[in-house]
Amino acid sequence: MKKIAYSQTRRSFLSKSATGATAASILPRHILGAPYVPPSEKFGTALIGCGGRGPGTYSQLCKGLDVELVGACDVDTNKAKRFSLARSKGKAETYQDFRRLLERKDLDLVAIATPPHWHASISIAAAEAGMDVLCEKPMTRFVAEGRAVVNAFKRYGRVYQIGTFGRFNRSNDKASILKHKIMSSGLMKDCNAVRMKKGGLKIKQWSGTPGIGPQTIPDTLDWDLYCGPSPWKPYESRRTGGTHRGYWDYEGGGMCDMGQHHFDPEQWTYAKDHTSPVEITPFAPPSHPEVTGMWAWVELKYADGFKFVMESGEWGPSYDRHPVRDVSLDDLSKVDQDKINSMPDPEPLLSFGEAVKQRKQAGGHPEAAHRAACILHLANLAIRLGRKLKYDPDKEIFINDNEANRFLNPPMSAPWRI
Amino acid sequence: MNTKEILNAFPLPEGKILRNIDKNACERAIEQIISGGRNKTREIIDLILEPGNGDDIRPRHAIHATAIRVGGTGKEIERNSFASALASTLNDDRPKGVKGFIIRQLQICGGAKQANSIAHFLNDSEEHLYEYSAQALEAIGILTVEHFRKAYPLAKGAPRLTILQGLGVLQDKKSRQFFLSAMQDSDREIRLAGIWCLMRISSAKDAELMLSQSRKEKGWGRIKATAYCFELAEKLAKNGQSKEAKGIYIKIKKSHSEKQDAYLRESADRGLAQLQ
Repeated sequence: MKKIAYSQTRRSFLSKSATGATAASILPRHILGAPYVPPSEKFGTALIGCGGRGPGTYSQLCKGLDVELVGACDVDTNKAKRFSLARSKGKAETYQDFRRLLERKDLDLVAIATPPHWHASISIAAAEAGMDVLCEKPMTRFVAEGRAVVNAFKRYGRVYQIGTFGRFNRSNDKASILKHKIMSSGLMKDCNAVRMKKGGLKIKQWSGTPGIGPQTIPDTLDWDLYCGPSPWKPYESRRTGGTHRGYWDYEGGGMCDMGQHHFDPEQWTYAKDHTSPVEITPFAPPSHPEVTGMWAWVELKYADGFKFVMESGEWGPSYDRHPVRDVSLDDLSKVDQDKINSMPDPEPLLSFGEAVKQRKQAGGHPEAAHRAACILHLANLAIRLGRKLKYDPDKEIFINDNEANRFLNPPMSAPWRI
Repeated sequence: MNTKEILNAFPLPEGKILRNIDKNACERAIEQIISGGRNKTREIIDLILEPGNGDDIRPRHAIHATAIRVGGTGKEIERNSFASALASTLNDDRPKGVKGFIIRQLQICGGAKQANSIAHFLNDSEEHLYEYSAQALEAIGILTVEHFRKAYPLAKGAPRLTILQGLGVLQDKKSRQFFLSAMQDSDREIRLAGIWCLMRISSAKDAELMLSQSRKEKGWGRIKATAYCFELAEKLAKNGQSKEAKGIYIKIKKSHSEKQDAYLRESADRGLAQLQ
């Protein structure tokens, strides 16, 4: 394994000071244990999933931090090499198997930009190896994965940030802060607000292509490792390289590609970071077994009556079950309005970089990211199943629908498991 | 509707995607498949081909859509009837790639009555049938566990790991001896699966062995084995076995004493704090 020259970093200095050992001894950030990290410290970083969104996700990881890229990993060796060359002139070691990368002792921060069927397993493994993670959206491929990620980051006290950042702007916006206060106050009973997202979910753009048939696997690609926890399927090029989004095995169409961007900030605004919808109603035609396809709309109702609605605008009728209207202070009595006006503003959200330095929770923390991903997963499951679903947001299971529950925690291919 | 009319209700790709789909026509076609019983299901299954051997987009779509639509409360009779029809086609002389598709649909709508037909493939390595079979049985649930127990001693190669993992998914306490033996296997993935399975059955009496194995493992194996010990401690604490959980946390702290293990010791401290 290639060793990085760490003689100029604070980490190396600390390592030598602490042990009096040789220059080869590298002390990773996560063993220091102190809550405060001096700004001069250099963090060892890596990117897993170097194609597509990879370089952008890695840049987000590095914001505000002094970093050194030590590893680049991709199931396609060409992609890892290209990234290492572009960002470290080839100094960063390249890997095809993320397990080997996570064994490194000089790694502190990991950016994950694989297709989503790998997000949870790699995020969990990185936490288990003591690393902080910035992971591309959507957070997961199914609901149980999200809970496992939440538990792992809690267990190991690691920092996690999902790769969408709209909530940071919302948390500085006066109108959004007011809505956040109203909805988090508990004063709004029988809320009749309906928040609509119309279009922008790239339904046709990220629909898959059925019936292609097996193709020759490129020499540089480990196809079995690509499939990983998802069901093994014969190789088709459209199952990789961006068009993977159109396959249920790896992502979940435009809903999962764009949904976390749209609904993560909405979830913060309407104070739903710690819960999920209780009733999901779809309008969609029967879905194909392999590829994502058309749908018209999905309504997701929370326990307090608040509703998110997604309307594709690309197929079928428009949503007409309830009028669209926003939350308003006028919905409350004068006494309750005064209570809202006297509430303090919510705590500022910490960026990933600040969270890493302060050893605090980032704005896009695991529970919030999981609940936002659940919005997409529940909507997609209602679309796939074609029926109204009732959901218990505490137990995270559907009520009285055993067949639907099979989709919340589908079995993984060994050796992958959560 | 005859079979051709039923299938024509489902779309073919236009510009690579299934953009023009008629919901009502598809729903009517599904009703025809359900009411057509075993013969209609078989007719459509007969049109499904080995991947790459021709166009079978519509029959695959029709069968999958039916498997989905027979789910949910109040559809037990339709579901069992359709699942039985699907399972019966697994006995035919069909390409393994087609059987894989059928098993995957049984993962959606199958029940205990179809488990025997599915379990027949638990040790079949071709086209990953063992994997599809295990996953379908795991989805059906605990009533299928006997099939895993019977298949595991006979398993070799990739199916062995998959079947072992299936016993863990189903949290089968009767397989404890399998798990203990697996933990001593020469294959690291089998060893890790053994530890994971013991964690899944909350086997407090095996905690010492699990910890001992986690200390022996290197690299990735050590990362995962230690993680499973943490998870065991959490499960035991949740089950009210605080004393056993405490013992695990303390032993993790003692055994993971190297510099790079500081975060593990901190994690153990957090676990201990939560016990109080």
